[in-house]
Amino acid sequence: MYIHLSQEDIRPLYQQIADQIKGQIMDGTIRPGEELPSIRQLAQQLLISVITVKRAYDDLEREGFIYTRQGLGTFAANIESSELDAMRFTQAEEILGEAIKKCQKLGLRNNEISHIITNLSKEDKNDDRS
Amino acid sequence: MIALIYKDLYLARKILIQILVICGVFAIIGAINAAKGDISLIETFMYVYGFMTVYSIIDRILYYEEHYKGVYFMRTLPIKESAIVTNKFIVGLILITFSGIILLSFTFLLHMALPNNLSQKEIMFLILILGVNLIYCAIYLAMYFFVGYAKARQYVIGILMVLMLTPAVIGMIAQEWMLKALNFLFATPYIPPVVLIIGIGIYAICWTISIHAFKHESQKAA
Amino acid sequence: MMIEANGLCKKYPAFSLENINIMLPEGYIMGFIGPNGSGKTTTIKLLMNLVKPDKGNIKLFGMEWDEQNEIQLKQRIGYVGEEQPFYDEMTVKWTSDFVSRFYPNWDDKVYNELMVQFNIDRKKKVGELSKGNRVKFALALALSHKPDLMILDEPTSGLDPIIRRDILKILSKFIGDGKRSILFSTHITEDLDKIADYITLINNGRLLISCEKDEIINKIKKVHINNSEFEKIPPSFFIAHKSIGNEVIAVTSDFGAFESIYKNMTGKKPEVYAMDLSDIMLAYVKGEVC
Repeated sequence: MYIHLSQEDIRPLYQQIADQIKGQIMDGTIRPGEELPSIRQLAQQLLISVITVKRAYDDLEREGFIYTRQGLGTFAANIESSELDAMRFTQAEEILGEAIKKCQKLGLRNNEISHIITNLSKEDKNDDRS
Repeated sequence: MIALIYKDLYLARKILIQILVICGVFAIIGAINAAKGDISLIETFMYVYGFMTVYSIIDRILYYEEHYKGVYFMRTLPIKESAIVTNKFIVGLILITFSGIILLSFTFLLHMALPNNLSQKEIMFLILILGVNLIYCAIYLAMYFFVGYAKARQYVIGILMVLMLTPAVIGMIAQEWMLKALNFLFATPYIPPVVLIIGIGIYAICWTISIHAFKHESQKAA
Repeated sequence: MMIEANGLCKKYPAFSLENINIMLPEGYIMGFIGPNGSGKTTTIKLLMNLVKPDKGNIKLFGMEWDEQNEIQLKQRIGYVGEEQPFYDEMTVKWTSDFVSRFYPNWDDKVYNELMVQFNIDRKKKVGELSKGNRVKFALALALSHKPDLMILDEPTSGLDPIIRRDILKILSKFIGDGKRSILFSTHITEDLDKIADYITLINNGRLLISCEKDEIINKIKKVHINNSEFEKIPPSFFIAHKSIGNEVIAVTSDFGAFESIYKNMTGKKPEVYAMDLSDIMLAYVKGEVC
């Protein structure tokens, strides 16, 4: 499992870890039922505080992304594809929501913003085709 | 403990070898003198030297401890505080014994070339030296643990100077009296053994009080 | 608790340590930070029984320092001091042979691996080692007798970033089983930013902060607000601030509380920036914002 941490990122480290594991579970990089490194193993791998990793894992467990079996380890939860879709949509809403706010701050109007989004999506489709 | 004793002797190894070399030189000169029949002068030199060797080795060992902050180092290791003190006193005993053995061997060697055997005077002289070594080594070590190397060294040198100059001065002023006194000292059988016993007593006392002083010092240590 | 120190006080002619508390549970790393002369080394010497406190008590592994425990406690602690008082005349090999005799748990395999990794010439006299190598040697000695607790005073000073990272890896592995702990004092706070579980900050012999590092990072933040907003907020919310024209950059000691007050006051979220440990130390010690 590869996690990239950045000191520049405004998000605290535990959130960066949780978000990345969440992302990897959602896009299938981490398969359902796959074993995750233990808290101490991940802390060693990333050279970070054990408490930080524990907090990330606690959050993930609370949100239902992972589960722990005493004595066996920590595993990625088996999430229904419909649930995963819903999560993907929620996250997309968050990402776009922030981006839209920033554009509004720049003074753009809502129809201008929609226009940009449509154009960008078309470009990506073109890239996919070629 | 063995590790500590070995450490001190190893640190002072150069001077130990130096001493053996000088003893070798004395032995050769002594052999030459023995062939001529007169050993008293070389013997006296040797006894004085035997006394000084203990001084120089102990001094060197304490110097190293001070210079390299050896005591501080040992206090970071799992070593009992009392062991740090006991270590030095055992090393002192080893050195005094070492010096005594060298003197005895030397005297025997000299007599091998002569018609007469070891005299009572010589044996008494040896016992006296052992006793004196014990006293002065005990005091030097005790002072080291009470006031540190620099001050201890000053006091001990001062005392040594006084002890060596006084007989010399008296010898110059009242030579006959001096000779009578010396003869009495070495001829009377009980003075050297008494000095030896006093020496052992003082050594034991200094050992004990040094342990207490050291523990007390560490209370205040910086 | 691995380390439990309460109310430690020590008075010197020019300096005194007042009421220092340190609690370090098993399995964690505590970073001990503060400017030079703040009392870190004195505190560590107190913990190691190299100096006795005027007031307060110390328990390591639940035991106090006394004649019975002296040797046992020291055998369980790996200590690297600010100075490494070896006999400079002696070789590295002689020194390790000497030291190993006092530790029943000494492991030659561990020692050899570390010495190879640290690339130290064992035939050299200790006095001839560079400062960096001397510290690495002390660290190798401390790790080789398999202690339960490491107490390190500036163990990475004089070392390049590559070897510092190697050492952090070794220390991280050391607490890997959750049963051993490390107290790590340093002024290179970058080493602690990620890896420390707990942080204790002292200045001028006084304790300023002692808690989980994440709590510190979450609560102490830099905010960018304007002058009028700044003047309306009680000064107790801020540790330090800097005015730039009409704007103020301020360091708040409790971001959560600050955020709600700010929201109530202005209806929006404040502009906030994260701080690393050295920024936080600067704010607390010098009242400066960088």
